[in-house]
Amino acid sequence: MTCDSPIIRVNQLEVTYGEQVALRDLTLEIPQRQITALVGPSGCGKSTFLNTLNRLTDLLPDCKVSGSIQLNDVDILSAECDLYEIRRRVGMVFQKAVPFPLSIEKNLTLPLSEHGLPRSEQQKLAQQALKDVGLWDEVKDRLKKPAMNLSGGQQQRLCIARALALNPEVLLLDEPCSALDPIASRVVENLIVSLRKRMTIVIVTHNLAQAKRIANHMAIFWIRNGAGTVIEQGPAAALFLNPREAVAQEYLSGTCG
Amino acid sequence: MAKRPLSEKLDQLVGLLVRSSSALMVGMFLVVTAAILRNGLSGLSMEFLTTIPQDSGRGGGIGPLIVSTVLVLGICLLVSIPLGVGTAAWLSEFSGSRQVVTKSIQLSLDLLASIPSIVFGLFGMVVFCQKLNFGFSILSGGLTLACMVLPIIIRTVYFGLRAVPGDIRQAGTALGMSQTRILRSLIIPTAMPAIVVAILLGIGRAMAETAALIFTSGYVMRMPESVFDSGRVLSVHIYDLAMNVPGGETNAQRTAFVLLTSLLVINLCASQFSGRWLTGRRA
Amino acid sequence: MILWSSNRLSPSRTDMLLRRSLGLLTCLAASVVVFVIGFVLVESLPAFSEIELSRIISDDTWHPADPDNATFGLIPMLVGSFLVTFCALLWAAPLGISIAIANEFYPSRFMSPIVRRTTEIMAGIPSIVFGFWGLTTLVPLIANIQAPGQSLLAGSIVLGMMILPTIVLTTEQALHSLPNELAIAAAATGVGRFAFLWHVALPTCRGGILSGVVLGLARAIGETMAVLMVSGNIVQIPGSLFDPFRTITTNIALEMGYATQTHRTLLFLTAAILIAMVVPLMAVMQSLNTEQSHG
Repeated sequence: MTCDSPIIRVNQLEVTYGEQVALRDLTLEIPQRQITALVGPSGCGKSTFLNTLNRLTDLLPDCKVSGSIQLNDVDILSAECDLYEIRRRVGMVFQKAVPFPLSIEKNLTLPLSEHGLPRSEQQKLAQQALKDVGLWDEVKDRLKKPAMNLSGGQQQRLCIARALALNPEVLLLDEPCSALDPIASRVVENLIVSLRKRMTIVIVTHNLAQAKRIANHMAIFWIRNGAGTVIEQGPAAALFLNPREAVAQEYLSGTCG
Repeated sequence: MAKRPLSEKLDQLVGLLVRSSSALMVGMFLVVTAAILRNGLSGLSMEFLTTIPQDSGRGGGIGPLIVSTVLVLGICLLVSIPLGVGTAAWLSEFSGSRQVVTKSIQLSLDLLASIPSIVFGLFGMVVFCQKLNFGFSILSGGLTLACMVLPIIIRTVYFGLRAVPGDIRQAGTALGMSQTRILRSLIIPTAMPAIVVAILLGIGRAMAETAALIFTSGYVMRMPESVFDSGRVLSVHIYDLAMNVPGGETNAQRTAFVLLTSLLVINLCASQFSGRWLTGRRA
Repeated sequence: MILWSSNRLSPSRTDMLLRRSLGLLTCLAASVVVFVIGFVLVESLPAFSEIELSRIISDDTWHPADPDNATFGLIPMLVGSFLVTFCALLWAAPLGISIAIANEFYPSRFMSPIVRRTTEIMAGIPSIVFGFWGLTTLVPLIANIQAPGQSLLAGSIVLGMMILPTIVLTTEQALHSLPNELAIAAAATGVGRFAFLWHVALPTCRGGILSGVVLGLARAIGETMAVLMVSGNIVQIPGSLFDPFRTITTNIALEMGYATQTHRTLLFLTAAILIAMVVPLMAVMQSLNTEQSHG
């Protein structure tokens, strides 16, 4: 159940939207510098869980979160924690690529300048981030051009680069490949694997084959008593081989969910 | 089966009827604009646009009146744009789940939009001219118009801001950007076309106004030296020449030509701009 | 390792500041209507103590500035306002609805864009220009039939033209909101265009169409300058379409310049009455619109 040196410890998490309980009694540990895949059928709160990890749930007016999420020693959910610091340390990439309606370069430097970095530093980091995602050679001649003109796969890599430029400790990915064609999807997938050495990665995916290919660690989400929760977690290989729960077994073998 | 031809006949008849209604409206529009444009074009010259009016406006030009009009519009926009954009931004970005508050603010703006312009004139006269002691002045007129165009500006900018996709806000927040920065660097620039359209619509509405200005910016035809001077705008000039100055009709025609063509250009720009912006969004 | 500087105002504090200042602007914007209505009411309040208020109904004439024998009858002007609005709606409402139907159900590749553009432009033509056209072109034409030309007929023609775009645009929007599937389903079951229009489209969009007419009505009652230039401005209940008349709005515009004391107060009271007529219309329209969106 436990893993070595977890970077995030979630304990008794409960998330409600108004009357509706989205997540209940969720306890989970996420190991450092590994890829943790969150899998499970739609609507069982995987994306909601991801959103709580960098407090994006604050954007939703009726959303209430209780329990605790420890990022190293900081409780993300406490009122005292510096929200902007948390969001720098925990980066996020969404299912749909969301380039800002600005130039490619500005897309990367805007968050950096927001976090108080000097101009010279900004450009260096932006360039490095573009190299990290393998976009540099493709866009170095048109950094001032609108990011909207990039292809879907390029946009998604730009968004990853934008998150990487902030040098986060944890990178959250919410089905980053599901809106991409197979080739672009493979490029992004390889990119994610290459990032494992540098940071902790949490990825939500519906694609079990993908989870199998890239994940070291896995958590299976399921609906229990009308709310989403984690029914099983552990090293990915072991889980795929020998899940304890019957539903998990069926889900992983593709017969339900 | 015998019913079919009858219903088809009826359909054709209605089609003819409603299409001739359309033609009638286009005809009316052409009659009005053609009359104004044809009569106003004769004797219109650069000189008319730049010289001062003489003999109560029967002779001379409309130079100072153009300056007054521009100044009144300037004050109107200077006040209504920040106020309107700020309010729209609050309604769209910060009102959160306060449905009751948002609803009542929207209701108050709807009410404001429905108030007849003559009532704005009275309000401006009491508050700006008398209570705040600005007198009959360009400032009073501009402020009165600012109150009047506020709902249009708020509504236009609000829809522009709402049209900015929500994932941009989410992505910005996820990167640790403050709401201030997201608004300033991402949302406002994206909604800029809507703000431009709002400005154009505001100008169009303000420039067309007469009743709200008669008792606020006044009738004085001199070149205004400051915004505290009374200044006659183009529309008031048309009114005064047509109603109170025998023999002023020729210059009224020309002024009407100037007013109408400026408004046509402004409104066409606005609709062109919003059209392109909307289609660009859909693509 | 990057050093993350923190030499700036905490973002949450800037956010708070922005939120507060925008909130303040919003309060200001929302209170403008309160100020407008409030000041007009305050200025009209003395009327209740200065004269017997029933006199605005019982007096036959309007001589508020007469030092010896002042009379305060507002009825002729109220009747003038209603009559000219009614006559304008009488032709502009059916015409406007027809045009909207043409645009939505009988479109023509040649006419429809022209009609749309015309409606848009017409909505932006200032009332003073309509009034001026009425005074210089329409009034002489009517005077040929029956002098003086400045008349209820001239007023309702000019006013109708001004509210026409409003009615067209609102009706078109209502008709446009009909789901496309409805028309397809109708066509599939062999219901003709006219039958669909008459039995489905118009009844379904009743609320939206009516709200367009109400919007036009509100605009017509409040209109001042155009009517002022073509109505002759004689305080009387017009006996025919060719008689001159005066409305409550034009009365304010004509007399405010020199009105003092009770006269001035009464003009403000007139403005308050004007507001009292327009605000319920707005409420009606709101309810029509919500009914439409729920239906």
